[in-house]
Amino acid sequence: MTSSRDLQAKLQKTVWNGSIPLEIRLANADCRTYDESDPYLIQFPRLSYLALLIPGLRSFFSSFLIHPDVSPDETWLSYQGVPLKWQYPLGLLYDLYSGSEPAYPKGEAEEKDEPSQPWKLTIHFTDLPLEHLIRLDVEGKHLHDLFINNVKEADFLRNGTGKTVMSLSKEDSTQLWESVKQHKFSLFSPINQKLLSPQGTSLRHLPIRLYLPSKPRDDKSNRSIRVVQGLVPLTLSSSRQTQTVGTALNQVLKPLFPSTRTALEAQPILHGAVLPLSTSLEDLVRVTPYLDGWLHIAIKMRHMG
Amino acid sequence: MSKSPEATGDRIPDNDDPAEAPLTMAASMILASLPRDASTALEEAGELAVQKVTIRLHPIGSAPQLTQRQFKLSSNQPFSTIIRFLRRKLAVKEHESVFCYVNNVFAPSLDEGVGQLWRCFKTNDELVVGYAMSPAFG
Repeated sequence: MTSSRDLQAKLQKTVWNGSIPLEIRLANADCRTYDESDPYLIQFPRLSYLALLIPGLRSFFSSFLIHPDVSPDETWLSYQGVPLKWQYPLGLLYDLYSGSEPAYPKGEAEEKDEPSQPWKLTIHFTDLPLEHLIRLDVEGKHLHDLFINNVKEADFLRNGTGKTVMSLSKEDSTQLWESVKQHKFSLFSPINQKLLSPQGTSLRHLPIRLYLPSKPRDDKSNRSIRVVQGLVPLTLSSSRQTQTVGTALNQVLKPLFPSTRTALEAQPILHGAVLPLSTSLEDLVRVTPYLDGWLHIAIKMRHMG
Repeated sequence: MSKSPEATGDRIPDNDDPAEAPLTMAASMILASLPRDASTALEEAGELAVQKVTIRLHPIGSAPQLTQRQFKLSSNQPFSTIIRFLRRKLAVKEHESVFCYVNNVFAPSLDEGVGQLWRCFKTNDELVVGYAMSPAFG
């Protein structure tokens, strides 16, 4: 009987330690030697936020910059020309944009859960695209606001109020943000436990956000991301059966997931792995959420034939 | 008839050019070869059944009142459309800010879809958005 709990602890640890090698190069437009700056290499946690890298990136690239005195709040990152949103954790960005194959269940997943090739990103110090990105500040206040509001939104979904997160003590709130900045499980876990186990109530809905590739209405050449979220109760209202990945997708994205048991046209990806449809959604929310409490799930269309 | 942004009465005008989050080439290759029924399923999945949703705006603290509080808004609009509308209605100056909160709890990101928020957080079929001239519920 220890196995289930052990397995959960192991899974939690694997997700917490999941990381992606990054190779970050300076945009040619910002580089005084055009394309000859050194790349910045780092192994960075999937759960964490790229914005936390900015101070290090700035000092690394400062000697290569055409305008070394540009304001730090103009900094942004892109992949293949697409600006990377600050509020998306690295793992979500990677699952959405890298085009890499996810890990599949059954055997082969264990061997190849870490990508060996670095993900090649570009850093820019000018021309922040404000239609896509929020301007960050040097103190990190805006990043914190983005994070904490996602925490609150998840809390509201789980409990139907924002009471649990809003009644956290000042120390607990500070500790939560410190756990993000330092990527420290021992700081994160106790606060997360408080959020997931509110006094005197049981959870109502499970915070999942689904990211779909989509075709913009008027422009055929560009693809975009469409975000969908729904009210997903812990159990099916009809049968009180446990909500699984499959039943939730069938409820929220019915045309893509007409079956609750088999994924035909599309598959859900979380933390780089294809989710089996039979997985309990509540278990995922408790064991492998992102730091803001959400399950950010990328929906990937399957190759046919 | 030309569409005037002021001709609203009871609706919040659409932002005709909301920035969509682009997708990379690496991730969009497969979409070109999708069979038509899969493309259709992809487009329809997760869409709201209603085109327009109702938003209720209420002032927080010393924020000015609006004469009208209930508005219709296209469900495919981003949350930033509500903030833009409020800035104009309240004649907020360039250097000033408006802070908006759903159900007096959280401030959605500017790019969150109004329809998705309405589906998850509506009360009596209205998405209740409070606005303040300085940060509230920090």
